[in-house]
Amino acid sequence: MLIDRQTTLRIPGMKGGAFRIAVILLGGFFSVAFIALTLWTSVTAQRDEMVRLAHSYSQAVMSFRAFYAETVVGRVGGLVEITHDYHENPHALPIPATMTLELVDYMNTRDTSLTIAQISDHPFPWRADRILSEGQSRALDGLLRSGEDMLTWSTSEEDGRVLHHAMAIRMDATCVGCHNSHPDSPRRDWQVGDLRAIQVVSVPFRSAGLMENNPLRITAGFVLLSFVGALLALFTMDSRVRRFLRLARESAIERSEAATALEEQARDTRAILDNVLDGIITIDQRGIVASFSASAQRIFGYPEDEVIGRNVSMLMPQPYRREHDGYLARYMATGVARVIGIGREVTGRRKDGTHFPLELSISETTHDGQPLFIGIVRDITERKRVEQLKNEFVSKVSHELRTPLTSIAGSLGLLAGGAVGQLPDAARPLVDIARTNSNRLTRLIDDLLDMEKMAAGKLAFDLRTEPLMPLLHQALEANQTYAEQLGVRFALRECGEDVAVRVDRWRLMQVLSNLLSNAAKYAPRDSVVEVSACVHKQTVRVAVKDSGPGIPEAFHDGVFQRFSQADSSDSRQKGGTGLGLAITKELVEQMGGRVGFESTPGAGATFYFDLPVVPSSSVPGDTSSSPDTTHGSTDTP
Amino acid sequence: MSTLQRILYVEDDPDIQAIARLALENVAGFTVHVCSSGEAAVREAAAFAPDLVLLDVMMPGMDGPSTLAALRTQPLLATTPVVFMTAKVQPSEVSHFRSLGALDVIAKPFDPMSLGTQMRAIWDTRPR
Repeated sequence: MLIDRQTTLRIPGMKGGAFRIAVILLGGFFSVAFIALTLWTSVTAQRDEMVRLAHSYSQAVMSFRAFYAETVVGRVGGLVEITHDYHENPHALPIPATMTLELVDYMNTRDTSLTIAQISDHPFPWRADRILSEGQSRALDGLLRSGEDMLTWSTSEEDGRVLHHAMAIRMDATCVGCHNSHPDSPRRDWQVGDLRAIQVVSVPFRSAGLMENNPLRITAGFVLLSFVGALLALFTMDSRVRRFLRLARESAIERSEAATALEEQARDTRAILDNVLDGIITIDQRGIVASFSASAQRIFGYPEDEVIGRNVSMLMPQPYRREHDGYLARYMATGVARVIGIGREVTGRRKDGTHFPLELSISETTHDGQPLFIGIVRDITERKRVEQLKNEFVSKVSHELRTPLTSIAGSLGLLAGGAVGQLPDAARPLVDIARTNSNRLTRLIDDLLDMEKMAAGKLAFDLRTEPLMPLLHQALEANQTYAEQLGVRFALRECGEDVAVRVDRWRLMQVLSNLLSNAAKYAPRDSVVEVSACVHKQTVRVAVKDSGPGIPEAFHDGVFQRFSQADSSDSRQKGGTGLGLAITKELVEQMGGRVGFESTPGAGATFYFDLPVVPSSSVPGDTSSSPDTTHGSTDTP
Repeated sequence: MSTLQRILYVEDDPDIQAIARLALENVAGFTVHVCSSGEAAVREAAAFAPDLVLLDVMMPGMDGPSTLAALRTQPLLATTPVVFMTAKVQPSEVSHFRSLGALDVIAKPFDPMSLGTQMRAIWDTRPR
C-alpha cells in the first residue's frame, strides 16, 4: 500500500481524495479477483473429482459385465439357457445386457446419490420402448460419430445441477458371436470395436458443498480481512504518511534551496575576491600555491593554471626566490616571522621577467588542520611613482624657497653684523625682527623636508656609539644664545656617571635643540630650565624641565602630532613651526628610544626621551671615529 | 701655500652672488672671482688660479658636480680643493658630495658674518 501511495504521489496534480478512492478501487478489484480465482479453482477441482467418481463407478459396472460375460456365461452357456426373460425359466441365466441393466437398476435403488443408465441405438425388442433424454441421445450420437470413449456434460435439473459422464460399451470378440447369432438381436453384422451402447453415470452437484469447503472458506475470509485491514491501515496511517512525505519533500526542497544559496554565496565571494584590486594568493606550508585570484593573475601576468601547484617563489626575483623555501621552513620550525602578520614592501617578478614594487601582507590560518598562508599583494608601482614625484616636488620647492631665503638671510646677516657700516639705532630692532623671521622660515623648510623624508622612511641615520654628556654640553651651548634672548638660563644637573648611547649625533642635536628651544620659549623670563640625564637600569632618561604654564589636560594626546600647539596663537607668539615635537618623537624612535612628558597645568612641563645605554665593555676607545654606520636602522645592541 | 686667499665662487643667482662676495671680500678679506655658470668657471678658472673653489650645486646648464668633473681635467685645477654650497644638506647627501671629490658642503642659507671663518676651518682640513 505504501509503495502504491508513493508511486501514486509522484503523479503530479493528484489530490488526496482521488488517490484514496483509487487505492480502495484497486484493492477491491484485486480482492474480488483473488476470491473469484479461488472459487474457480475450487469448482474445477470438485468437478474433476466428480468425473473421476463417475468414471470409477462406470468402470466397475463395465468390469462386472465383462466378468459375467466371460466367466459365467462362457462356462455355463451350453448347460443352462441364457435368455433375457430368465425370470420365466428357473434354469436360465440372464444375458449380460439384461444382467447389467438389472444390476444398474439394483444399484440405483441402493445408492440414490447417483444414477446409472445404459442406452443403445439398437435396443433389444423388449427394450424398444425405452425413453432417452435429450442429453443421452446427444451423447450417444456424439460418441458414435467421434469414436471417442468418454464424454462429460452437465445439465440443470429441478433439484440442481447434475454432472453426466458417458462411457462407450464396445463389442469384443466374445460378444460378437452371440449378438450376431441371437434370435432377438436387433443387428447381425456386429464387429469387434463397434459401439454397442453407452453407459451414463449422473452425479448431482452438491450446491452447499462449496461453502462447506474449509480451506476455501479460510482463504476467502483471509482475503476479505486483508482488504479491510489494508483499508483501515490506509485511513489511520494516511495523515501520518502524508505528513512524513510532505516533510521529506519540504526538507528536500530546503536542502536544494540551501545548496543553491551556498552556490550563490560561493559565486558572490568569488566575484568579490576577483574584483578586489589586491591580488590574493594562498600557499601551503611548503610554499605551493593553492589559489591565485584574478587580480593576482593581472598583477603578475600569469594565468591561474601556470601558478597553482607550483612554488610561490616563482613570483619573486633572485635572491628572494632562492631564500624563500628556507625562510618558510625556518618559520614552520621556529615561528619567527619576517613578513607574516607584519606586511612589507617587497619586489615581485612578472611573467615577462620584469620586476616591480609590491606591498605584501601575509596572514596565517589553518585549512584541514594544515597551515595555510594568505598573501595579499598590491602592485605599488604607481604609488611609488607618485611618491617619487611628490618627493621631487618637495625637494624642488624647498630649493626654490631657499634661494631667495639665502639672499634675504644673507643680507640681513650682513646688515646686523655691521659689514656695511653701523645701523641707526631705530633700524636695528627692525633688522633683528626680519632676521629672526627669516631664520624661522628656514627652520620651517628644514622641518618640512625632514617630515617628508621621515614619512617616506628615507631619513638616513648615521648611528655611532658616543658618550652622552659631551653631546648635552654641545646642545646647551648651541641653544644658549637663543635662551639668553628670552631671559632664560639652562642648568645641567648631573646624576651619576656619563654613559654611552648609540645615536646619530646630528639627529640627537636636532632633538635636543627642539626640546631646549621649546622649554626656553615657554619658560617664564628669568627662570631656569633644568636639564638632566639619569640612568635607570639599561636606559638613560634625558629630561628638560621648565616652569612654564604646562600643558592643558585636553591637549595631552596631541602633543607629539604634527602642527599641534596647545594654542594656535602660540605658533605666532612663540615662533614654533608646530613640527618640532613630531620630528623629535620620530627621530628618537628611529634611534631606538621613546619620548614622553609629564605636566601639571600651571606648574611647568618636563619633556624627556629614553635611550638604551650601551654597556661600557662595548664602547670603543676612540668613539668619534667608530666606523659603525647604519642607515635607516633602528637596531640597538 | 698655507693660507687661503683666492676663492673662485660659482653661483647663478646674482643676489646670492652679491651677498657672498660681500661676506668673503669685505668681511673675511679674501680675493674673490665670481662666475655665473659652470661653463664660465671652466673657462676662467685656470686664469684666476684659485686656492679654493666654492661651487653652487644646482645651476642651469652645467651643475656643480659636472663643473667639478670638468675642472679636474685641467692640470692647474686637478687638486684644488672644492667646497659645495647647497640647500641639500642631509648627511647622506653630504657623503655623496664628498665621494664626488668635494672637501665639504656648506648649507644654504649661510651666515654671511661667519662664512669666512667657516671657509678657513674647511681649508685647514684639506689633505696636504
